[in-house]
Amino acid sequence: MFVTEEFRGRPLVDPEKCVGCGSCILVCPAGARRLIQEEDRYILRYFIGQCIFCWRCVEICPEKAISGTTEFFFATDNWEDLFIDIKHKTVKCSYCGKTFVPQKLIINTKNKLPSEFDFDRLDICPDCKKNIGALKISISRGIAYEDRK
Amino acid sequence: MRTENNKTKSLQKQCNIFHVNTGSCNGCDIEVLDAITIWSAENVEVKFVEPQNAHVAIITGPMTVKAFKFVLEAIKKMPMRLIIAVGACAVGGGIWRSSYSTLGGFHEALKLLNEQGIKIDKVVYVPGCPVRPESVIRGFKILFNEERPSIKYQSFEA
Amino acid sequence: MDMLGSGQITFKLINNISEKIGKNSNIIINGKNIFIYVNKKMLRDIISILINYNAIPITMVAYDKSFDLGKFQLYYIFFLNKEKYFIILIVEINYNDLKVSSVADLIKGFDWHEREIHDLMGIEFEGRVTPRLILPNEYPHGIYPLRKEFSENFKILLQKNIDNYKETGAEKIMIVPIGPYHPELLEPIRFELCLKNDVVVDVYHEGFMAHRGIEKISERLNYDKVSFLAERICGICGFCHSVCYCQAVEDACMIEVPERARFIRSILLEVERLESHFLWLADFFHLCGYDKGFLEIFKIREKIMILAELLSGSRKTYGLNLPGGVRKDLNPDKVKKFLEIINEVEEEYKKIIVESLARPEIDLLKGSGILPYSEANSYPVVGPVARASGINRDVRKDDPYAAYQNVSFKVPIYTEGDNMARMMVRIEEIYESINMLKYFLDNVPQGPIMAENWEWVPNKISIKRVEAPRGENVHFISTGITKLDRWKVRAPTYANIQALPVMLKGENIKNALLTIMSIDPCIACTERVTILNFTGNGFKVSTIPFDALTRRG
Repeated sequence: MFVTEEFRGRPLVDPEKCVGCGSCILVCPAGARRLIQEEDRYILRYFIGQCIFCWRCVEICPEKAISGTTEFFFATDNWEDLFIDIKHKTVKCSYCGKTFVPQKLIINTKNKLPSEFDFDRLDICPDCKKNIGALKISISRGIAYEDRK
Repeated sequence: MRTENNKTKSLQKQCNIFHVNTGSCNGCDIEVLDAITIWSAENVEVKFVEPQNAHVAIITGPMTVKAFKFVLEAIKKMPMRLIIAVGACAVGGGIWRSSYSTLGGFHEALKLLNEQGIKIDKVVYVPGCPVRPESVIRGFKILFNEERPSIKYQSFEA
Repeated sequence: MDMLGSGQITFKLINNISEKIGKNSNIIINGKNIFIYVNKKMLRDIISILINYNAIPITMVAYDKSFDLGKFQLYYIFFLNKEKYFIILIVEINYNDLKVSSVADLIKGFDWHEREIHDLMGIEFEGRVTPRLILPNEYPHGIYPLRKEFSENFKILLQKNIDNYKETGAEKIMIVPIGPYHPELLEPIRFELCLKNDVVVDVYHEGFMAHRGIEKISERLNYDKVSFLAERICGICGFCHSVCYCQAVEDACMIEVPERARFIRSILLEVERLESHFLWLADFFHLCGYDKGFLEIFKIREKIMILAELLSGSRKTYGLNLPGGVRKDLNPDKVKKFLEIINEVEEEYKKIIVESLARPEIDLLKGSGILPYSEANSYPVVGPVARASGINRDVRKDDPYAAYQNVSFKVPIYTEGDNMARMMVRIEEIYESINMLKYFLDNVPQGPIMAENWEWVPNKISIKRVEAPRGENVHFISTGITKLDRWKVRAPTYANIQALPVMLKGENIKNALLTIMSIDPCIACTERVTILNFTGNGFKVSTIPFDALTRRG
């Protein structure tokens, strides 16, 4: 009984490279990767008890943070040992104050954008962006008037 | 654990197993059979028996609602309640976790068993889909306190 | 009507039917699928016409369209083998009058289908009794899990009902070992054999403890995740389910699968057939009492598992299929190693079979568990069980899929219909599989492995079949706007187990277990347990303890 090099074992996440985009959570067929939203942080939790070792998360990660291994020894008698957590600090929207995205994702996006970009827009959550955009269009068409606070 | 150390030593030479399939796809059950064949090569005598004479119960499958009553009755009859939950389905429900017809693995059934006052001595969880035979054997050794668990909880700040 | 092309018999059949329905006949022809809308009063007459034309009954699907059309639809699916057309009768019933006349007396194989639809959708069938099939007896009435209005959160209520299970006499239920893997590894199923003078006169069995609600889960997941779900329907023939589902999506969305992907799929399908047949053969030898054969075949099977791991990355549940092709390519350096392993397997297999067929234990199989041709055709049964009774059907030959049109192979047919014939069919199929594998591995063409740039087509119905190790496997899908709207799987064991009472009548206990094993039952595929309760008059019903069944006289 031996293991070949083609064997699909446990996929491991590199916490340095992970930006918290959540693609691996969307693509997991079994629901082994979960998102837990707390007050000021997001926890990306991997539950090996439900994992089906299909390696879809390995294929999809845009930062190439997940790598496949050939590990297969996972037996334990303690339920908590079956989880691996990666904790991300989150950012609050500068308009409404709601938590909406991990901090690392904003830093990562900033590094990829050209320097002429208006970086203040990155701190606004999608709902507020929609409302601000709609207000600007309405003002330019004369339907609404600017509300000077 | 109810047994003392010298009792577990004698178990290692002869193991009576009660196997119950609570609706699995049979992938893990065949690998359990492979594991037993390897173990027989190491001079451990393994027999499949009824719950009254069993030392260990192997559970596969996501614990369907219909099969739960068998498991309940069978575990009640076991003299020493050592349980190994094998496979992704038995540990956490696998891909069937949120279905109207399954409870979601042995861990969820444990809560119901505790409500009925049935005490389990020790449970070992062996994930995998399907589980590799070597991993099942490591699970047995952890059950008999011969080895430490293979994984631990990890938490990282990104 | 000219769209039927060369289908002369089909043309006559459609004319016959449209005369019967009258001038309001609504017949739609879409490729190889012919949809006929039938009033529920005309249903039995139309089905009689179809039976006269030798249409093969495949399955029945109930479809909840109460949210968009306000009705339920019942699909009765038949297949014309000569000209390869699917005939689909559609009966529409209103939400407040869910009644249809039963056809289980015309088509014996639809008995389970009607009971299942009654359990999960709540449609009443007039003219018959519908005892519970799939759900537990304690399940509350009026709640139908497969309807669109049923949400999966209902599970919470059910957990509270589990207290009632203590009083149902669960201690009296005996679990009989059934399953193609090992007689002592139990699949949860219960058999009660009614004996008279030590001869079986009736079979009572209960099961469906493996029912996991697959079809409801598929309405929540995305279409690409369903191929992983399909693979775990059964751990022994899972790849066939995955290929069949992907083919149904590819047919509905008109995707062109590249040639290399088809060859890779065929290679893994044949590897899976070898794994399954070797497992069954080893188990069968053990039951006959020939333990040396059991150990030898298990050793050969280990080599096939290593081959599967080199090809796909996992010993079982390969996880390679997605609609449009495969995810991972073959490693070209390893192809030489694969061919070496196959040749070794063939050498050892030939030696063992020559030795085993001469043993006296195997000789006892002759003449037991007979299924005559007429009975086999009336259900109908599928796979090696059918081919051992003289029915010449194999989906790989009749309706080639994947890369099977490129290779020539023989389909073994026997006419005795006993346990020996069912074993010989599988033994010869292993030889053919090994030859096909060698051809496929030598001739894989170069090219891409996944189709690009295709789009999802909503509101399309597609039916596809593959030949699993146990028989013909049928998948029916109906695409919604972005996800699947309905998915129905008819596994081969579902069709075969219904013919068990015929095979077991007149057998003694010794042969009963061998006969049950010879149809290669895969309970996980069937995902249900059926209770066939024939309580006759003046019979003594006795439940057999497990050791009596394995005792050999």
